Parts: sequence; structure tokens; C-alpha cells
Amino acid sequence: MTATLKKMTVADSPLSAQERYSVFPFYICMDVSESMSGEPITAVNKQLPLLRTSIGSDPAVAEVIRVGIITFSDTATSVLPLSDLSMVDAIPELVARGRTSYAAMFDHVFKVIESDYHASRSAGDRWYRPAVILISDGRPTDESERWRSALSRLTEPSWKRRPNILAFGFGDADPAVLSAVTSAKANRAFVAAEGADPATVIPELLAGLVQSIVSSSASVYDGQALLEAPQLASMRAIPVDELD
Amino acid sequence: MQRFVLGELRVGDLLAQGGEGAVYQLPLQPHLVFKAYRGDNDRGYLDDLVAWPDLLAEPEAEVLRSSAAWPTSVVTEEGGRPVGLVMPRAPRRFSVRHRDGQRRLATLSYLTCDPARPAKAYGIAVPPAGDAGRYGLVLALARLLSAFDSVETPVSHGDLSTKNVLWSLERGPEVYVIDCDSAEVLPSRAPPGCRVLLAGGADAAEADAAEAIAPHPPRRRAMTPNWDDPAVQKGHNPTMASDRYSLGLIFLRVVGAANFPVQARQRREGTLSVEVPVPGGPAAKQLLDGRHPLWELCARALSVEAVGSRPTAAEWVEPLQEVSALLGGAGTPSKRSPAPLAPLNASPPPSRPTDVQVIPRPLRAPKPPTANLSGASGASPAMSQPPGSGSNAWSKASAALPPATQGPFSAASRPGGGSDDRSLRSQAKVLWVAFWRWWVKAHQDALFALAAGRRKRRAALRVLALLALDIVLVGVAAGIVALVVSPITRG
Repeated sequence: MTATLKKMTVADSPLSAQERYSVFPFYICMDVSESMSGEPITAVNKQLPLLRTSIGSDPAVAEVIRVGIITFSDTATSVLPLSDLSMVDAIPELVARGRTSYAAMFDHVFKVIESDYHASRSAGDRWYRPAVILISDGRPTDESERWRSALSRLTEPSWKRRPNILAFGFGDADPAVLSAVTSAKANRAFVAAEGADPATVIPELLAGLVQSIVSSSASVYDGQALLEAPQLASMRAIPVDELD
Repeated sequence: MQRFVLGELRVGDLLAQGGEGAVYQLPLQPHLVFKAYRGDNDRGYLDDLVAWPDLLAEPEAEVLRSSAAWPTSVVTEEGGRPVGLVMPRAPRRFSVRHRDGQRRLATLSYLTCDPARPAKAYGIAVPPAGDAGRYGLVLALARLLSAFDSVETPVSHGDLSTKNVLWSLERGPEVYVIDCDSAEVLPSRAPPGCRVLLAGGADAAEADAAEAIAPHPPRRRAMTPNWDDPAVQKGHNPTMASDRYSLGLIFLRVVGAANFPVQARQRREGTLSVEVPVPGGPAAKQLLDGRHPLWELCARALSVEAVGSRPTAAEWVEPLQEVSALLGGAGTPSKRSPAPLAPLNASPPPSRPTDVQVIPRPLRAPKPPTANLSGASGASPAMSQPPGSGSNAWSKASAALPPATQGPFSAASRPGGGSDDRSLRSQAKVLWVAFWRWWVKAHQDALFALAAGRRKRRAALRVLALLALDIVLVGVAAGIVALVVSPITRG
């Protein structure tokens, strides 16, 4: 028996109270261009606090989920840095203005993932592959070449931390653009029916998103994280691999 | 048999919805809820479940009533087909109030993390790792589980997870186990010779026995991820031994105040070695000895290799009681512990498992909070370990902590040295306040007595005595003023 015990202590360092589950980062990229002003942005501002009350208020969910909110129009900004939602006091209110630069957003997401990953690692957190949730009501206003090159850097297979992307479009969003954004294997795009009212689409989408993040947390505890797509028609959960 | 017909039950608002069914309020019986099942499955087993507590003897029956939402009646259709259950609702004290004022069920997740986390996130104070209250909660759970196992047809809960085991420290450490309708009444273990085999819980043997004896087809019972028994293969039902694993896991996580991800390690490597933080205090010397019975029980409970020698809940009761008492814990409301079954004591003490090792480690001194590394990591707040102390102030402490206070940890464990000056001053303040209250009350009473006019002489004497006291006080005060002022005027 002593031999077994000795072998054990050599083979693996003891599990300590500091050891935690890997976390699952979600970046919500919200289009806040001019076309979102009025009812759509009001609907977004009404729904986003749900993130805090549903995910942040359940300690078991909050422990393994990290959420960052990025808005983009002419430029992209992290309005909520990647956070443990139980530690967030309020979700900032979003304001709509400007055009729709996908390039600015893809560049920003790339930079933020890179720096958040290193910050988390040095704080002792391991990561599952991050998920980027892109929500847009329009077409990119920047040159096609410009945003496509920014996208290809974000989805470059040799970049170890490339995120899985779920794209949701409504209003004037172009299905062809969204499917280009999510052309990589594991990614998915969803577009609302033509003419659907954003004021009804947005609450349904965000509520579904919250639900899918909550289910994803259970899969983290199961040891195999699953990116659970919102419960809208014809959707499938995508297996997500763990980063080194 | 306690049965209700659905049509005769007044059903209120929907409380919760799950995969299996929906839970409703009962406006006429606010302490009960109605769970309605979905689908046409055969639910004949519900009658057995509701009738099971009748088998219990007295201390165990009381333990079950006070710490489990055991279903009390079956609800049927007109034709008699069971469609749901009536069961008790968790008492209000098994909830916590977040800073936003909302009450939420007090799940184990508030306890299985650094106590700084719920304090910062929700304004909820929980006791530090290794606190008497934490041992008390595990003791309360061990008492309930040994009641489950105290009769010849025992029950296994099968999913003792964070959401199903609620806790409260309001009246001393108590637990309240919910979702008991997923429990299973196991086949009788008589004749007595069978007990060792069943308790041994060799998966196949138990499953075979269940099929042979159980009058109802086995239903699918799944364990919650992170709270599951790694000895049970995916797609298989938990066993009696799984509850024993859960007790060990809950002990480790609740006492250690961390979410030890042990199952992944056990599945991957087959072996497990865990370090449990032990704070300084009255029981530290005993607990830091790796041979303490509690570490040995925990190692046996978590074993995957020797599922058969996982300890029964009854085996935990005494060592937990001892440590709880050593730490100054208030103990749980019910003092009597169910006696373990006789055949158990007859067998020789099982040896330590070879696949699990539980090592006590002294809790390190709290680190000063460090600044966040960058703006982006605002996510992970710097968490300092609370100072370890065997404070028992917790067992009665209310769960609500005002936001942005440092919490009573520091108050309970502040060392005596270096604060003499402060403590003298605070003592003086307390005395002064007490004197002032007495002075006001004495004068009021005396004047009322004089005004009331009864026993005039006595009242007058009282007033005179107080007047004399006041003159003396004024004299002393004037003297002090004179002492302070005279050197100044003279100078």
C-alpha cells in the first residue's frame, strides 16, 4: 500500500483548495450602429441586465462562466471587460450611433481575447475555447477586403485561441455576410425571418442566449464543455475543446 | 395510504419547471407544494416512497421530518393513476438574501468556495473554512443519511448535489434535502447475511438484486455534474454507495470551503490525493494529524476502487460530533444520533483505500489583497483567505451581511495584542452609556412616582437622594473643570 501511495504523490501533485474548474469565456459583440437606435437598443438595454440576474446570481453558474460585452459601430469598445458576473454591479447602458465596422470589431475581439487569456492564465484560470456571440442588424459598412482580412486573423486555424463564433442577424443583416463570418467548421449563423420586428426578436434572442450560457455551465462541470446554441429552430450544440 | 385526487386539490401558481414536471404552490397549504409529472410513465413506485417513512423508528422519523422534503401524499387522476406528489416546501431559513433583497435557496454552492466570494458578490457572510458550523452542517447531513439507512429497506437519494442539499445556520447547523422524489426504496436486505453484500454495493450485484426484487421497473435517475459518483458509469443509476460518496464529497467541499474538482482527476488518473485546509484553533492539533478518523472516512468515501468499503453515514456521526464539540460548535438541534446497525460493528474496521489520500494542511495566513493584474482581469477578484479561527460566533450568525463591510471574520479573530488601548476606551464607553441610561431612567421613575401621589414620602425621599447624587456629580464635574482650567488661567 505504501508503494501505491508513494507512486501517487510522485505522479500527481495533490489537489488543493485553490484548484478550480476551467472557465468558459463568452464575448457578446453587440452592433450599436445608428440603425439600432430607438426600439432595438431600448430592447437590448432592457434585456442585458438578465445576464447579471440569471447568470451572476447563481454561484454555481457564475463560477465557471465569464462574460464580456463589446459594442461596435465606427469603432469597437469593451463596455464590460470579461467578468465573473456575480462580481458585476450593473450592466452598462448601450447607446446607438455611427456606422457598422466589422473590421474594427474583429480586430478588437482578437486583441481582447489575447490579453484576457494571458491575464486569466497568470491569475490561475484555465480556459475553454472562448465563444463570440455576434449580434448585428446590418451589413458591414467597411470595405469587404478590410473586414474579411480582420476576420481571417480572428479565425486563423494556427491561432490557438481562435474563438467559436455564433452569429445572429435581424433587420438588414445579410445572411451571406453572416455565413461568411461563421464559415469555419464549428461556427453557426442564424438569421431572423425577413421583416421580423427587432423589438420582439431581441428579447427572444437574449433570453435564449442566457439560457444557453446557463446550460453551458453544466457541461463545464461535466468535464466536456458544450457551446449550447439558443433554443431556436434547427440548432445543434457544438463541442468545444479545451485550450492548453 | 395518503392519496389525493387531482380534482379535489386547489392548485396555485407555478413555482418551477423542470425536465420531469412542474412544481406548483398550494394556496390552502402554504407549507406544501404539488409536483405534477409529465408523460405517461408508470409511477407506481410513488406509493412506496410516500409510505416509506412509516418504517422509521422515532429519532430517525423526526430527523427525516425536519431535514428532508419527503413526499407526503400521492396525487392521482380520477381513475387512480398517479400523476404527482405533495411534498413539504423548504422552510424560509433555508434561503439566503442577496444584496438586491431577493431570497434564493441556500444551495451548497455558497459554501463550496472562498467565503470572500459570496461576501463580495452577494453580501452574504458564510463561516470560514474549517469552522464549527461547517462540521455541524455535515453532521446534520450524516444524521439524515443514516436515517435513510436505518431500516431493512433503506432508501438512496441518488443526487445529493448543490441544489438538493440546502443549509441554514440560523438555529444552529441544519440541512434540508429536497428532490426526494428521485430517491429509490432499495430492496430489503433481509436475510441479515445479505447486508454486507448490499452495503458493499458492488454495482452489478445490487442492480441484479434490484431487478429481481423490486416490484417496479427501474427508472432513470441521473446525478448532477460535479456532484456525481465517478464509480457509476454514464447511463447507469446511482446506488446506495453513491450517497456515501456524496457525503464524503460534501464533507470535503463544505469543510474545505472549495469546489475541489475531484471527479475529473479520479476519472483521468484513477487515483486522487487531496489537501484539506485546516485553520488554527482548538482542534488544529488533532485535525492536522493525517490519521484523524475524519480524513480516513473521507478517503474511504471517495474511493472508486473499493466502493464496498465506503463508510455508512452512521460511521461519520461520532467523529463529526467530537470535532464539532472541540471547535465549540452548538451542535444540531437534535442531539440523539440514530444508532448504527448492529452487523456493522461486528465486521473488522476496513483498511484505508489505496486510490484516495486525504491530507490535512495548515491553512496559510491570509495574504493581503493584491491589485488586479489588468483591467481585463476585473473578472477574477483577488481573493484572500479569511483568517482561520475556530470562532463559533457563526453557528448563530445571521446569513445577511451588509455590503462592503469586512465581515465579522476579523472581529471574531482579532488577536488581543496591540489593541489594549482601543479595548479600554470601548469599555469606558460602554460603562458611560450604561450609567447615562440608568441616570435618565432613575430620574424619570422618581418624578413619575412623585407625580402619581401614592407613597408620597417614599417618592420624595427618592427625589431627594437623586438630587444629592446630582449635586455630588456636579461638584465632581466642576472640580475636574477647575483642575483643567486653573493652570491655564494662572499661566
